[in-house]
Amino acid sequence: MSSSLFEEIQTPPSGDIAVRRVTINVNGEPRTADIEPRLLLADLLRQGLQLTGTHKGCDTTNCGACTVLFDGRPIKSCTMLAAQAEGHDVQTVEGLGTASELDPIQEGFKQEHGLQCGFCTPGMMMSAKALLERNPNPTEDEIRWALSGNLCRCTGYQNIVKAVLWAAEKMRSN
Amino acid sequence: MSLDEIKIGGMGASRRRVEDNRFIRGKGNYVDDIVLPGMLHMEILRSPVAHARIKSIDTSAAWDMPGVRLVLTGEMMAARNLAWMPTLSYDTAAVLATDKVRERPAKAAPGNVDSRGRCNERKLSIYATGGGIHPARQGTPALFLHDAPDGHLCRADVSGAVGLSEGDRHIVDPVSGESMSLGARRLRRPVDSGSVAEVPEEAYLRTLPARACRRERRHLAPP
Amino acid sequence: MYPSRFKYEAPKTLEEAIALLDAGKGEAKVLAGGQSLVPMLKLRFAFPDQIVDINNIPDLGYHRFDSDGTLRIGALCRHEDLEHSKVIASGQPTIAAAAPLVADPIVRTRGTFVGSVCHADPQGDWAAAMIALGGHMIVQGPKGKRTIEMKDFVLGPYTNAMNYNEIAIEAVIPAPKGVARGGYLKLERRVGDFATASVAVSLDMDGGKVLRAGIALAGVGGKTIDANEEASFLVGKELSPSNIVKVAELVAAKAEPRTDHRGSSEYKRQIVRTFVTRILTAQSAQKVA
Repeated sequence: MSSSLFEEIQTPPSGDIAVRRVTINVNGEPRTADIEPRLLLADLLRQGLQLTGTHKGCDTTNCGACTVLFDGRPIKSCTMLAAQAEGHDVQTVEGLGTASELDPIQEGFKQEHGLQCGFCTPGMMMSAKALLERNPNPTEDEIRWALSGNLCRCTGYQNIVKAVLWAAEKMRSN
Repeated sequence: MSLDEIKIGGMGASRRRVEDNRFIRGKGNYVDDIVLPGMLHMEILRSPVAHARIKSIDTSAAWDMPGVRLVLTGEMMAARNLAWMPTLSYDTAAVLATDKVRERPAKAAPGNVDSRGRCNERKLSIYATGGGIHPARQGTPALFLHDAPDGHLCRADVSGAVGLSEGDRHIVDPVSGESMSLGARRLRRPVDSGSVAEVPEEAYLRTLPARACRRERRHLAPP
Repeated sequence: MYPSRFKYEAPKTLEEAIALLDAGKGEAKVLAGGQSLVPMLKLRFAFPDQIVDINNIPDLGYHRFDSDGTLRIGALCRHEDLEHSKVIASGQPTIAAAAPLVADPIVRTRGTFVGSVCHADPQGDWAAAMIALGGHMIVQGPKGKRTIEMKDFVLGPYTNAMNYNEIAIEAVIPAPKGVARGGYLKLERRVGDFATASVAVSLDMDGGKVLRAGIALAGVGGKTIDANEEASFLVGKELSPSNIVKVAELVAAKAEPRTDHRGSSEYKRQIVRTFVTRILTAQSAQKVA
């Protein structure tokens, strides 16, 4: 499946616009797009692929609402060029869980009221997923430290920590 | 609290959250996610200087770019008596700058375009020329108050408000009494079309931190 | 926010990358972690004609101690590689202390040590660490490699001594004369904020005696403050409380803090004094190996 974000330009403002074709493995599926190199990964995900679960909160690399997993590691997708993701694996919140089953992290956020407005939540969950993959039994301090790149304005973080603890326990008992 | 009230989910009862199912799947519909048919994207051009008199705004390059539907200036709004609006803070603020750019977010002109991708190009091809520059130092809550009899005024209508001369290199912070030197910056913003918005040596591009908002009131035009 | 247009290449070899930089005549920028460059591109504070993405060049992500104790950090070694490294934890305490304090955990998965030093941010943690450690950078250009001592590397804010056609390929921290000791403390109002003040301390110790001392400060001046000369007061001495107090005073005087919304200059100077004292006291309290 391919999408071209700049197809509709009939007369480019100045000279030719260089466009490159990238194929990125998004949530397990190869996705191809013809993009300008300056396109940010967050914009490719949100506008090109219509995966709007990844949010742009600050656009200054501060808030972490745009966090996705890049080859399993959390990155701020607003601070990566989409072209850099060529050939790599990107997992977004839409890739958590399946059609019939929630990821334990998603369940944890639901059970422990780990969200209010929900804007920071996808970023929080992706960071939490990366944490629990490396550290299946984190302490509260370790959770707070690992999530310190994700900001939340609503919850005060208490229930987010509880949600991750809940998820960790669920994953250990599975 | 009667048992019935709780049973029917009335006052005092817990409410189950129904929105989480969408949010945890990334299916929230936040403002930036909304896509409506025929929707336009707006970009706001902010002044490259904190305080200046607008001599002219040249929007021709912006209108020429493909996809642009409208380039709106303060002048166009003033013609419709919409350039100044009351705010929630019981004062009146400029929606778009008409005569002067002030330190409050001083917007010059938004450009409406039909695709997000080209929005930012519009922003940089509109440039305002102005005179009478007040350098502002980032992080300094107190600004523009300095004895400079020939200085440019911040508020021509308020007696006692003074400003800085072009050559001033120091301001005194009325809060701490500390004397601070001002920097000068040249800002180059190249644009694909080759036009460059260049500001004079004395201009210093900074925006005020939120804490300064109380002092910002001084610089709003009278209603 | 959105970068201006640029050409983009992702070469697979160092030679290709250098050739691209050379051909770019100063209008090409290296992209490694991108955690400083991409935000600048988005704000259009930087608008290079070309981006040279070096992330596909193999064998640059290493960090290792040579048999002689020299620490070498490759161009693509990420902050988190150092943060989670066992050899760093046991062998290089200044870096081990600073690594978890750089930016935030998500930025640390991409940002690189070498890139951070090259970026020469006056608030940068790694530049301060490198100065305190007395390290040097190895850069490679069309004519080959050369070494730049850290004290000559940073010319000013965001300006380093490299030519436009050079890539920094390795940061080198020389083997300690004795046992590497030290630490790094950073006061920030929240994770990811600029430092209110931070202090890097590096010591080479023999028993209780200091063989070499280096101290550098970030966040308390227009650039990284090199306080190595003040730190050298400790050479040949023990870490006694009175010596610690003296050097803390010397270093605090070297700082050039400015009053801003993070605090007054007196406050920041006091932080410097406190952190130097704290780090040095912790060293003297440790059982010597």
